[in-house]
Amino acid sequence: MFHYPFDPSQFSETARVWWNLFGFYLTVAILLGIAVYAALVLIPFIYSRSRKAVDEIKPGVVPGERGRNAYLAVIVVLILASFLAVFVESYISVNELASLIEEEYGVTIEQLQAGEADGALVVEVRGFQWGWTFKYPNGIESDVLYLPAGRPVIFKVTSDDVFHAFSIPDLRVKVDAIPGQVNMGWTVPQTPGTYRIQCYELCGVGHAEMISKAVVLPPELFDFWYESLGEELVVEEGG
Amino acid sequence: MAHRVLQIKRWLFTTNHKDVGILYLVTALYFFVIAGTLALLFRIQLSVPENDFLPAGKFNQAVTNHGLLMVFWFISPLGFAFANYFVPIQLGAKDMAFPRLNALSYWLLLFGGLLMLAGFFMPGGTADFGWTAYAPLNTETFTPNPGANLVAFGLLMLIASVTVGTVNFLVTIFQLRAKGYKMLGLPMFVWGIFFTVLMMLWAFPSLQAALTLLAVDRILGANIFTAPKGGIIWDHLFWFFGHPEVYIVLFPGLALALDLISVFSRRPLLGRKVIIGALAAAAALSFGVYAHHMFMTGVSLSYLKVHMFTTELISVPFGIITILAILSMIGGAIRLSTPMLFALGSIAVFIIGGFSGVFNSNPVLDIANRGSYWVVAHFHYVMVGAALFALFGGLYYWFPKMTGRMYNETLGKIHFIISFIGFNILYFPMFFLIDMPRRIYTYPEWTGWGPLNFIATVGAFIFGLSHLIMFANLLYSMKHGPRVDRNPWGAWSYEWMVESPPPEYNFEGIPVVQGNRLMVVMANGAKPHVELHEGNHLSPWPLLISLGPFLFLLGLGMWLGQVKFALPLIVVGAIISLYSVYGWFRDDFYERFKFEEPPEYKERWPFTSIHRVKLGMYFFLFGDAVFFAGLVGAYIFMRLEAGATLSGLVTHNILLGLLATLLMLWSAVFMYIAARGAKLGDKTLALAGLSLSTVLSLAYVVVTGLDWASVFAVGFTLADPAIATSATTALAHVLHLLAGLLVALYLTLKIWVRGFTGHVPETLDALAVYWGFLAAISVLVFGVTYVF
Amino acid sequence: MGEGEAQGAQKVDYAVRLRERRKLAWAVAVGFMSSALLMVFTLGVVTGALTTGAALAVAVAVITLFVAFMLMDIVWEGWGIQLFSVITVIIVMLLMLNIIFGRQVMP
Repeated sequence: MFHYPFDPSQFSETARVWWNLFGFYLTVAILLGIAVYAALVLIPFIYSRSRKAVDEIKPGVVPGERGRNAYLAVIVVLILASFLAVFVESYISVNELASLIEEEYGVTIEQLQAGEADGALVVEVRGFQWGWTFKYPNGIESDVLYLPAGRPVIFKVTSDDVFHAFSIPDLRVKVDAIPGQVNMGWTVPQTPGTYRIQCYELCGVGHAEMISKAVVLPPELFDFWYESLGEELVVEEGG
Repeated sequence: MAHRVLQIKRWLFTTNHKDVGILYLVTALYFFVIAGTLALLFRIQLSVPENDFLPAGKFNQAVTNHGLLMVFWFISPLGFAFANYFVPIQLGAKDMAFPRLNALSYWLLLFGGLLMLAGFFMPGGTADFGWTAYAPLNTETFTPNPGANLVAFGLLMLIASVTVGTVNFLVTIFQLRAKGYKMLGLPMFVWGIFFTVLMMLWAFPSLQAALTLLAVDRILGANIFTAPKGGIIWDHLFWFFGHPEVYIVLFPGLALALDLISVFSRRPLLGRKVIIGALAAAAALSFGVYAHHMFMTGVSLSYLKVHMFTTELISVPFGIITILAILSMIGGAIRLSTPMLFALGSIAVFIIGGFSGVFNSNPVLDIANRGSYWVVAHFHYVMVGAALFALFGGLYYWFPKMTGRMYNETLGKIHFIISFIGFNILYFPMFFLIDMPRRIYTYPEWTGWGPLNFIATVGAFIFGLSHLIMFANLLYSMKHGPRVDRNPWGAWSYEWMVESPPPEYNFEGIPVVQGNRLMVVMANGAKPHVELHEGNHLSPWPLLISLGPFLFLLGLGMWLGQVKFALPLIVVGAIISLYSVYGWFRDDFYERFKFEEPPEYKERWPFTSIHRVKLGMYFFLFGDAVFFAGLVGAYIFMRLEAGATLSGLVTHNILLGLLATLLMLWSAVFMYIAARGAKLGDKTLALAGLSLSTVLSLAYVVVTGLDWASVFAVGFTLADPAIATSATTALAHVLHLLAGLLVALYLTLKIWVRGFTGHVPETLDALAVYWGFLAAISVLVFGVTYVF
Repeated sequence: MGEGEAQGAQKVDYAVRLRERRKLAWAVAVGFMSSALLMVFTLGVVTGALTTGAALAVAVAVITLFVAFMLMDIVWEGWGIQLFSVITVIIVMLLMLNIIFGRQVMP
């Protein structure tokens, strides 16, 4: 049931998009970080021993301006460039997340926003102090979330009382549950198994206990459960 | 004995900026110990899965108060301890522009903090909704704990303190620089404080608006945040303040680290102007990025992308600052003394904090980060790491200046090494807890979070206890350290040109800057501050004027929590408040408090022709505009989002509203005429204007009251969020006006009895500006809440 | 009692006198003009001539800014105060725009 944060991409489509992007950011951060830390450690190391160094700080004299040098501009440009690269990448990924479901599963963003689509399973999620209720289109109400593998799922998330945040961390689903408002979230679970559902917004004394289960089933098993109107299933844990 | 009494009197009644700075320092460290202890308590609770050291309620209270105390009563005040002590000296000034207000902002801060702590002793406990206090969890319905009211009151006192301090620092930095001292030549620390107070000026009123609405909800039983979607407006108001707040906490430390790096590597900063520009850019951007805290609240995709863009943009100025700071050291004669080590440590952790922040700017990555320990790690790297390390570096750096004695260098280095290692053991594992939610008091064993949490707890104890070395070192060295001369570090700025500790009025002459040379010139051997050495810079009123509201609000909180002895406290608090206001005015009436007028030999660019009272009023009003914008914005939000369908046209009598607005408008015109009278030296005109204005404003209050009475008479109540928000706006406006009327009354009396002595014309001029502002706000409020 | 008054009267030079009188005249003019605008605005709302939100918002913003800039002396001050006023207006607008546009378009 516990999956270490790295590479959750086999669990769901959103997790895949997340992981690609996280990997990109992490690579950029580590590369830039190595350069910056090397400078931060090496420069004091070298120049605390250097004997040729000049003392340019004189008591009572405002230090002069330095840095009309060209490399100042180079630094600025470098930072701007890496910023732009990150921005372009992340801009694309936001669009990717929104359009992925359309391209691969035929569910448009408009349908997603309206919370009704033919190809997708729509689950109404209600948070309350302290627990979750999941309601399916055929009227099943459950406190365990059963999901089909390989099919888009839309979550219509709301709350009865205070702010909660509905999340299935391993599937990279997180949507704020806000009283009086329905927020949409979606994913395509890929790997059957049992996943942790937890509240990610402090919601009172029972916040830590607001844990539930998401069970991703193979499609035929899910259909069986769905049509038998939510009888208890005994599923072997996996994934 | 007499000496000791004098000492007590000095510390209680002082208005000297250095004394106030020491008070800030001691208070900040006191709250640091309390908030740190709270942190250790909940780290013990989290060290192993399914622990039962702290139950959920207590855990949440500890987390909430840890956050609030650390952010508002420790890191910021620590930065401002140094700012109080050193900014005036670094400018070449003898004190702040408003010494009494400076003391006032300290006492408001202290009593605000004590009010917060008092929450712990209320039956049912104190606030437990997190430092972000998300609505509607923070309302009476979901958090009935009476201590939560005290927390809200404490924060409101803090905001009062911050507002006063902000105005004071801005006027000081703009108008009290030594003759010839250009803004660009100021030390980076002054620049850091300058941008900090600018952000405080425009950010804190938004929190003030949010807390005012919360107080209305909690005390008057309104239904603002409990309305459907109503909690979102808290998000907006809180984060409009909350994101700049991160930089408010960071900037003093970051700027100080830049100064330290320059001094200890004996090199001027590389691209000084670029760094200042980058600080300005980051400060400006901080107001346009806050929705990255709200990515998951269901905001529209385009809005989300705009904030993603601005958030990523903010990495550019900080990247430039960091890299220039590091490259500045090239070619220098670097000395790795304790302050330098802390400065480098601050930059080192800031890099990790900054990089992890870029991850949070992306809505897709935010799916994992939001509400998780990743975020906890990120903001502790920025706010604790970068800010605290740099400020502790500053503590070591300025310790010889403040005490005249040197600390133990070896112990200082040991403190740095242990705290730096402890810090990283504490927070780095949290990056790997990316799927563990924040603020959970326990977690099941199967989550596998146990080992990393245990490591973090070990780190917490190493980090927390390492500071004992510092306390021991500094306390011992204060009495027994070796004496040092004026400038042990060979630093360049003004504070190193005076004795250690500096004399009461800082300079034994007149500070003047010629070109890039800082000088203190003797005016024919005479000491220009001699006439001020008569003890008349002591004032009891800053203390009492803060003590009164403290007792009053404590009583009110106890009364709301149905605790005994509440009413006597309320009464005593009210009496002290009224008496101390009277006392302050009386001192001014007889001009007993002789504070130094900024003399001609001060640099006052770009406000050369404005008196400091009026300038202070302007700055106050620029902040206040955001407060009213927050209230009016809340009303607009309620009408758009929260199902408050009835327009003001239906609920109000628009003709009464028009009449009230016209009365307010003409009241402002007459106040303006009174101020012209004072400038022209025409007593009749001034008195006539003042009286007419007073009469018209009272009429405005009456008409507004009648209008609201008619609204409530029809059956509308505060349960309607639109009514509640617009009533709060009207109430805030009327309270502003009543406060102004007190000053108007004082001025009328003083002009009548004593004529245009002292600062009367300037004060009246400032008051006219205040009245003009209130008139503009009343037009805005009329246009929005009566018509929309 | 009359001392300060006499002192004040002596010190005021001609330029200041002219400036203060001009300010005084302007204040009265602003009073009348804003009152008239407010009455027209209210009339427009009551009769239904001003119905769209944009028209209302513009009317309110114009009168508010007019009153603020005139009666707060901002037009009479140097560029420093004017710059700060503009920044304040921008920040107020930022908060308002965020509140208005930072909402859900999804149902």
